[in-house]
Amino acid sequence: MSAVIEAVNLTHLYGEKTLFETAAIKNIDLAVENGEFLGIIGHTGSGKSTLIQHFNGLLKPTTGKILLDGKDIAESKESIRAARFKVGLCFQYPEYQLFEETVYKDIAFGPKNMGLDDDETDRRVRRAARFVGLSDSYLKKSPFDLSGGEKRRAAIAGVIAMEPEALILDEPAAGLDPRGRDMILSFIKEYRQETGRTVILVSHSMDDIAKLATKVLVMNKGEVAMIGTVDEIFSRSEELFKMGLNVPQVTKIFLGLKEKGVPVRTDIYTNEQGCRELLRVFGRSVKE
Amino acid sequence: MKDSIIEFDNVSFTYDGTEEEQKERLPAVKEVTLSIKKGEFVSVLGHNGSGKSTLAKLCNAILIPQSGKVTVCGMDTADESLIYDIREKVGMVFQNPDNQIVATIVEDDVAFGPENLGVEPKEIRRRVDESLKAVGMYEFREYEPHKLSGGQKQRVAIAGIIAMRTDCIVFDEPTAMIDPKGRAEVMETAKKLNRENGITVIFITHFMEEAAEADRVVVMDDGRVLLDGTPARVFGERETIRKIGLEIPSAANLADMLKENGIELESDVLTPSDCIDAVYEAARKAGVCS
Repeated sequence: MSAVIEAVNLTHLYGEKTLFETAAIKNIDLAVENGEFLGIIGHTGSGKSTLIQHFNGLLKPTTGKILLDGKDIAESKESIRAARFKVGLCFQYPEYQLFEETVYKDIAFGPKNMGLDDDETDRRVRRAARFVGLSDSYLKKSPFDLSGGEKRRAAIAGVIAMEPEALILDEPAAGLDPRGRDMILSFIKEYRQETGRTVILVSHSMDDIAKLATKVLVMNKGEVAMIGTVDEIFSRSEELFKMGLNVPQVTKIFLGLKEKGVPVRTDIYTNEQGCRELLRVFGRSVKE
Repeated sequence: MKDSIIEFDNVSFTYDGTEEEQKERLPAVKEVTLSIKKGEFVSVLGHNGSGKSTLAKLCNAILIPQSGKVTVCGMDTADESLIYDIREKVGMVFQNPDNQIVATIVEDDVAFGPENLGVEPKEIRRRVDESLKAVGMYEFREYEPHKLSGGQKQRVAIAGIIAMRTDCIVFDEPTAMIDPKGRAEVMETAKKLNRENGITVIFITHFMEEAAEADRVVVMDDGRVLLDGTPARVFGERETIRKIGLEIPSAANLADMLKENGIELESDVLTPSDCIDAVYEAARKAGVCS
């Protein structure tokens, strides 16, 4: 695997050279591999948003650099512009950024900006809409006539339509009901399976991260506190609790059982794993 | 009813249609009859657009029903002359912590409510200190709110409400925008105020685990009350819950999976700690552990 995004000794100071100077992120070295599903967790103010805004050149590093496919994105104006298309960044509550007359035009905004012709733009708009589960009948509607969950999906489609090498989603399911949340998470999963492209998901839900991510990055006080597989990260529950984070609910249950003396493993991150483990402990087999 | 704090009597509410809203002019809340008792911890569930937030805003006269009647401690919310008395009884905490802080110093923010009520300065000082202590934010009293985390800001907002000597707090998805620690802080604060100060809590949420910790769960669907009962009863209606796009708490889901595979747990499982206890019991009985 090769790295699609690399952060090299990245530091970002807010309010530089003022009394309020604070390092939002400091000395970050990180490589996001091509095709990886990276989950980012961290408490509020841990630097997650600052970090991802460097990935597509929205923020300039105070020191250090960001490499995209091995090249410094700050090299030239063109390379910064190219980064915006290579790395698709979808902010929190992206539905507030919808502005066009129709859903179609809104999704087409990115591809058009890239200078693509109408045919290619059309192909991308329809493909992106299909990914997020918006049928053709939605494309003619005004984005403001959609429900909250639909608006959110339309906004994400606008980023997907640029067909970025890496898609970054900051809390894409925040504030949605369980059905809306499931819909968003399952299309992200399908999107990745179908395109094989890199996805970066910032989330406060340990359960979602455990289900989806292939690698987890834990940010704490502006620094990389841990990076590793789901297993490697969530097995360090004590440290996570200290950082104001958590483990998936089912992991909590198994930690509790272990403490009470039930001989269970604690590297359990989904209910399916949990059920299998308890059946093993109880000496039962799984019903097909 | 004597022991109730908020009464909904056959309440319907439809948002006014300006031109673009007209097509969506379905009632947001339909014929709701509901009684919230003093000292209860009630959580309200429902998918986006089910009428939860409208229900919340009807509780303290932010919205007035077009038909039916909402009374707070016997006061009709439609009576404009009572609006200040009603808001003294029922306060609200909203989703976005940044939208409800008005002052530049934490303690000034908490003082805003009582100042507006014309409370004596000395008394305000006392209430501000007391309220900040109650939510565990006293040591931050001289901080600037923007330096606080989401959970801390929500706790300051809560302090601002209890400084008005409110009897009931309506929380409208207070944890949707904050991190796990902040979520736990807000939930703990709500529970503590309910338990120790006898404050009635109405807690609107999308997190089933939070709802499972309430005394009572009200499920809204399409503007109506669809289910109303203890968490065990409401989440016991598995089919209905799933059909309207909600889910059962993760721990209950695990218990269901075990049951399907022949491991029957003896008690109802809603929270992780229920699950630990029930599985532990089952494991002891099966001789898997001591």
